[in-house]
Amino acid sequence: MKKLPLLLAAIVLSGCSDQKIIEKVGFTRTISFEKAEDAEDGRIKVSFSLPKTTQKESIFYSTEARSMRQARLIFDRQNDRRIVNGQLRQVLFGASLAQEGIWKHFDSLLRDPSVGNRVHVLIAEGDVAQLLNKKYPQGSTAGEYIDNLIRTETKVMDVPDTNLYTFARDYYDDGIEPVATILKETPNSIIIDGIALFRGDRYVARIPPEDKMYFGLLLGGVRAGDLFLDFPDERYSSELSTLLYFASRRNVKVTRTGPIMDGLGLKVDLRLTLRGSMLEYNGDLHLERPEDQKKLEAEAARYVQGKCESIIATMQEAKADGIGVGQYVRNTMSYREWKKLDWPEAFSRAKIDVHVEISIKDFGKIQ
Amino acid sequence: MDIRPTPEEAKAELTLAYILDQFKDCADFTHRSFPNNGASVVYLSYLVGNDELLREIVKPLSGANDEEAAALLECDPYSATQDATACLNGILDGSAAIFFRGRAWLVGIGRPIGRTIEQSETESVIAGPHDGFVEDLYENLAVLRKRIKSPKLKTVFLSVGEITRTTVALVYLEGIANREFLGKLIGRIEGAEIDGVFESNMFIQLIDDNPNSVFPQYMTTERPDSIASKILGGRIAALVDGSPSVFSCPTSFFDFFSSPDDYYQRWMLGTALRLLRIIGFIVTIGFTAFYVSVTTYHYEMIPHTMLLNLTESRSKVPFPPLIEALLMETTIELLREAGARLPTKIGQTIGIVGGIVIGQAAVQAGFTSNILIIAVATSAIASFVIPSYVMSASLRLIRFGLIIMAGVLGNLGLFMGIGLVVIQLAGITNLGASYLTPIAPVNFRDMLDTFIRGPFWALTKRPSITRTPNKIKNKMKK
Repeated sequence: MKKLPLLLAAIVLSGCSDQKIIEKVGFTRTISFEKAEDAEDGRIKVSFSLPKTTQKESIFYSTEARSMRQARLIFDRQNDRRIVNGQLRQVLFGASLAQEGIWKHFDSLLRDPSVGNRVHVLIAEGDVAQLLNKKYPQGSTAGEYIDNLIRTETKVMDVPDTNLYTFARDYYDDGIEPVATILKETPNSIIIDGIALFRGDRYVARIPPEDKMYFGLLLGGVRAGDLFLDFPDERYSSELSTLLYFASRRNVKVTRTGPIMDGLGLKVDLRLTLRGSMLEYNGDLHLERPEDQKKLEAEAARYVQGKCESIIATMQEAKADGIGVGQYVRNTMSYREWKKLDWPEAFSRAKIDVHVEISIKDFGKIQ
Repeated sequence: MDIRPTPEEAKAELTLAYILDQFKDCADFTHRSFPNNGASVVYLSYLVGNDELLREIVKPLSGANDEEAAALLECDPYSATQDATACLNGILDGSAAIFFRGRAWLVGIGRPIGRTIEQSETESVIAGPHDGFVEDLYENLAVLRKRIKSPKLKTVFLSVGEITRTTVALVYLEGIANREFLGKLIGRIEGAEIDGVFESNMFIQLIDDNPNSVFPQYMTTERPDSIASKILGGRIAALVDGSPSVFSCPTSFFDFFSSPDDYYQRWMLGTALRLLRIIGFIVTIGFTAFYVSVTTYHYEMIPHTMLLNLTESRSKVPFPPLIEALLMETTIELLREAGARLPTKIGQTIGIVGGIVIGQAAVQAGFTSNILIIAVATSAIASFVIPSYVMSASLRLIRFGLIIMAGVLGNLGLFMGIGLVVIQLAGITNLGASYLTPIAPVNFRDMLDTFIRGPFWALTKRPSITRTPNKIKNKMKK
């Protein structure tokens, strides 16, 4: 009982310096980094966007600084509430900055314990500050708009959910390179404009938005995708068809046919299995006939295979293994061998074959 | 002043003069003589029933001569006594003492005093028996005997309170209740030295293992069906005269969260209700504290759409969340206490004034945030789903401690507080049985009837906490 006052004192007097009472702090929702126009001594343009409590507007600060922390100190001098990072939802990197490497800035986000792992990592084309500071007819602030956009798009898994965790994981992991979603401003919306491929922390190539679904297929495990097949020429018997609500599986097989050091003796078979419903069809096939159904399946598979191979060619050209083939290659060899291997180089020369199998469960309700 | 009989008093000779002397200045004490045979009758007039008086005393004695009276008093309802203290106690219990030819007889002619059996106010059920215990001990015993018609249902009468001499009856099933617990309980009750006992909830504080704990350690209830099932489970029930609450032991913490109607519903529904009460328990001790902690320290944990609303609402409030929460919690406790004191009809007005006027106006005036009103109201409502009123009052007190801990140290403080509560719970024993059974010591079979209400085919054994010598209670095959 004599110790009770001591215990009480320890609890009550232990100071309240860490208090962050919610109405006295300003929550950063979006942070963006981009190249400053006349960059001197490594300064970049850092912008913070803080939603107002009315939810319809946001406060926007932008300055040139050498790091995020330095910028925050400048913003803290102007903001009436203490700026905190605990409600951060997304971080945007300007495309031109990303081409020079982003790890420096990324690292300061990773170190901050109040920043969550699921903060979206995005690449933005054009003027990022303007993209963030604009009013969009979609309603709420740009920050919330982007957050919701990424959430709904990543649900179906065709756009990889690139957040702090996956980016850092892929950055550090062997045999895979990080990717990030690209955003672009249009006159009255923000649009997903493809997928950025990284080598290390540098943005090196881009998958166009029309092909993002095929990238999703290659990455594996699309749960409820939506594929639009626009058959290009006479070699196909249909004009266009849409495969809705399909699920896909990926199977990677690595065989070594020769010395691996230059990547030529490496054969990778990517087997993709798609299964779904087809609900839109224009063409001459009579889909009530089983042989025509088979034909359509085969043609669609051929089409998807072509698309996937062209994406792989893009990645090989950029030496950016965004789909993680390297992890399967790594599993076939000893660690010492792997360490000696220059994977980006080997990847660019490896022979990667895509095999696609499509089975259409049903052809819509008119059948 | 020591009012126990002094050795001289205890040795006093039983004479009419002695009794008259003891009861002098008692205006309700009646002395009545029958001249035809010289008998004297004394009794406390408001304790005895008129019919009984007429039947046992006035009619037989007024027409009897000397010899007839002597013969009559040898017969059954009249019991001869030589002990002065016993005679005094008999008169105080509602008997009449008959003095005849220098000897004394007692005859019980007391009438039951108190209300008739009616539904319990504090523990009402929708489906199930609606009778509740009343103040009269013998009535309560009768209610139990009607439910358990077995000669194995044994009763022990003890007396506590040196002035009040309140009767405490222990009821148990021979061969099912643990004798060790029974011996311990009798020892405790006999060891209680106090001038008076008026209520079982008061009495149990005199005989529990941890008098300084905030938690009630004996389960009290006003429902006979609940007590009957406890006795069948191997527990010992104790009835205190003058109190409609009956307590049973040994008790575990989780007994306070079960209600007899869990067993009257289908088992899945009963399980859902049990789980709901566990949720209620967590909400009632922690919800407001969590609000304080989150708004003071952990803004990261709030979903961001709610965060902005909350900030908007909080921005008008001049107090930090800790003060705000303590103010509102105190207000709601004031309301609750006022509602309990007021007559039912005015109580409803309090509900309207408190619930609507204070709730609405406090938010509009910028006194509190509306989310806090929700938190406070939810935890107040949650405290009432706990069937035991005594337990729910204890939990409401703990809530204040947790709010302060949360306001000072955030989630760390909140969980330190919960840790302290768990330490306290783990330290409590009831007649030496662990309060946290079946979590510590762990017993998975008992958990079937603790956190969930398992189907009857699964409940084949009596609870382990009772240490019963007869474990099987259900021999039915699935």
